[in-house]
Amino acid sequence: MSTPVPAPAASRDQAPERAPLSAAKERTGSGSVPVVGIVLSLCLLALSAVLVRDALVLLGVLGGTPWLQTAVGAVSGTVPATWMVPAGVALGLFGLWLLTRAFARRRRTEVRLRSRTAVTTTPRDLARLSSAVARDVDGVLGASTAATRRAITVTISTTGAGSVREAVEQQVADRLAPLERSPSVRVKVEEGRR
Amino acid sequence: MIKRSVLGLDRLAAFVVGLVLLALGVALVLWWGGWLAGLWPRAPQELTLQTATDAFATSWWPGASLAAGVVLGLLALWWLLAHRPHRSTGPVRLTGSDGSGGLLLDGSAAVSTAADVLEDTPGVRSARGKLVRDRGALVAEVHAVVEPTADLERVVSGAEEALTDLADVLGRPDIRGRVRLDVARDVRREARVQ
Repeated sequence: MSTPVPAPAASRDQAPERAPLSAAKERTGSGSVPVVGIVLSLCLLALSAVLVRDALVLLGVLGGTPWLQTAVGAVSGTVPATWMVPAGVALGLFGLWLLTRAFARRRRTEVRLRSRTAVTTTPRDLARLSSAVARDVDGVLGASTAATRRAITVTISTTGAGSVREAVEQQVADRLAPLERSPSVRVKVEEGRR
Repeated sequence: MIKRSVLGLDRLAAFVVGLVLLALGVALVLWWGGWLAGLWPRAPQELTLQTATDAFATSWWPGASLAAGVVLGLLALWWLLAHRPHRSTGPVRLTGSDGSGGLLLDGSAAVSTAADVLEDTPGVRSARGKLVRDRGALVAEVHAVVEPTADLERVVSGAEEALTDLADVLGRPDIRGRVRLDVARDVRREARVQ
């Protein structure tokens, strides 16, 4: 009695399809929130140093006068004065700015390319690609690019040939075609450098 | 990348300090204009800070100041140091690990090898990779520098192939992938052979 041997072709058919690692979450810029956090932590560190120093002065370990008591003494006796208007406005505006930082949305800094995993680049890199594409077009003497996540503006200087602008626009759009969301491409010909 | 929990703490601190400063600024202006008494009938005509002055005179103040200073100082130091980017991971436990033994792999070495594979793709100048922890997930992160003249579709295809091989090696569907393409500033000139 012989045992059936599965055909190699059949086992190949059943093999799971190979796939790259699934896409990770998009990286986002944290903006100025960490800077605010670092500054506030340094302020807290300074306050703690003053508290420890004052305690050591009061315990007789260090010489001098306690800074907190001096500060409170200087503020005590204050009555309403004109300087409070600019100071109050400045404090209020700074407080408002901190509140806007607290609720600021994370910035999206990258653009995605069409892929089965996450492949990304940045507008700065799109600008470099676009400039390189433009420089390779016949009739272009030089090119520079400004880019955002949604729009590319290529500025070129040309030898004066007729349809350079359209050719650059087409080739940049072709090169950026693998992007998930194609940005709008605009080409400007620099005046006086044709 | 800074931990999300630390960024959350930064936001909370910015909110609290911003609110306090805003209230203080508004109160200063209202006090100067004499409108504060309308909102707060017990508004003083002169700042005395009697509670603080009384606290300074007590016997427990030096000890309390020292304790508060040390606690706040440690907290501030932790907060400050938490802003260091720290995303490294330990060895990755592979599927197949059980009670009889564990199969561990240096994840960053595997991702680095995937980056080496990507480097062989035409248009890719260099690539490096490591395994990081990002928002609760393990992410194989590869940074590649591509030529300004690179064919993006070909590079994306190379990235997918490299991350497919990596997925096979790791065998962990929970590990995610991300490839960031940086475009080189200038085209690298090929060495001329005489």
